[in-house]
Amino acid sequence: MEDASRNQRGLRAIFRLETWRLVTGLFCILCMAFWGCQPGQQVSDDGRDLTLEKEPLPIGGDFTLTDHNGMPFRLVDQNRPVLLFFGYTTCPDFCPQTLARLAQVYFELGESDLLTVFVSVDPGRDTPENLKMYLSHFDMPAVGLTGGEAAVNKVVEQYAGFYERRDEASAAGYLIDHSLYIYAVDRTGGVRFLLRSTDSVKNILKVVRQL
Amino acid sequence: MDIWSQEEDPSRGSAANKRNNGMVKFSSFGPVFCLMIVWIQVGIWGCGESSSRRVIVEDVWVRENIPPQKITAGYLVLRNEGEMTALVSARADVAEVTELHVMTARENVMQMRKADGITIAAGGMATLQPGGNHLMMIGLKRDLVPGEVIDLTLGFQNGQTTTVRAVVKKVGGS
Repeated sequence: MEDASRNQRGLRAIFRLETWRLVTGLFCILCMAFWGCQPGQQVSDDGRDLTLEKEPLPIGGDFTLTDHNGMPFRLVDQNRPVLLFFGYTTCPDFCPQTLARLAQVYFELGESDLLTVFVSVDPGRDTPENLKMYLSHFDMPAVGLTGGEAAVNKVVEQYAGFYERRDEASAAGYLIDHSLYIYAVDRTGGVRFLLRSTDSVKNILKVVRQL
Repeated sequence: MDIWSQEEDPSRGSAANKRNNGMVKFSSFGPVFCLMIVWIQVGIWGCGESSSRRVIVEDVWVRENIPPQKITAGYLVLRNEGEMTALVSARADVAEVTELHVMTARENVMQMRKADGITIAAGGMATLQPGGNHLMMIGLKRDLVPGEVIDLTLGFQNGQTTTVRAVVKKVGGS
């Protein structure tokens, strides 16, 4: 008789525990759902806000250069989201690394009309043919752009970028210091976010998905 | 046969770890004992070559080149078990020239410079990795294919010369 009532008390305790667990579990799920549903909040690995600017930034905008097929390339004619950055094909470390990271972004993204635009800051050495062969190494839709030095300089200035040729002794000829931003450009050609060179695939994806 | 290049080869490195575990367990003493003899013997050869050889080279790899470019970068970790020294030269048979390049990213501008040496503090480490310092291999005599292994010879200020085997990795590897 005593045993039975003890069992009953035990069962009730377990039942109470289970109910409590159920309630806290549900609460957690609701919290997560609510948090996830906050409109537009995108946060990077290191806590930065990755939400796109509502209006295009005052830098960037339309331009025309020559693409890797030797055809004129006008930004606003693309009518698709673009990731744009400055580089050069003789760059042994940063440029291939960034392109490989972007290829990973495309892989994760699946179906998309995102276009990668690689603007060469080495008009002296990067011919359209070189750019075409170089970019074909990466499994993604990428366009290499080049042009006369004046035309390239104008675009760099327009995007508040930077590059400087360093004619120091290196068997590679000259080296080029250049800015590392990746510009997230919307369909109308407006720069809506500046990604950092160190941003992870995850961060880039968060930005790209809003474009 | 060079003990240093053996240690640095990642595939052999893991085998060496297993060997060490075997030694602790004494589970299969026969083969382990033979390995110990080889280990000690090779160690003696290593010491015989140069007793001042105190920088250990690890995780050596080279990125595949991206045609038409005949340049690429090499990466490694240097662990200095001796006095302060510096990596002062690198040579690879597959490249015309191999330079030491130091890289800094300041205010989102990448600056790459040829360096005369990369210092490694006494008991310290120097890491050459993507986005940072690297070996710049210029004038490749052929395209490097992921998976192949090439030799790199490194020279240090203390007179140490070490040849290591570097695995060629696909771009995007680390």
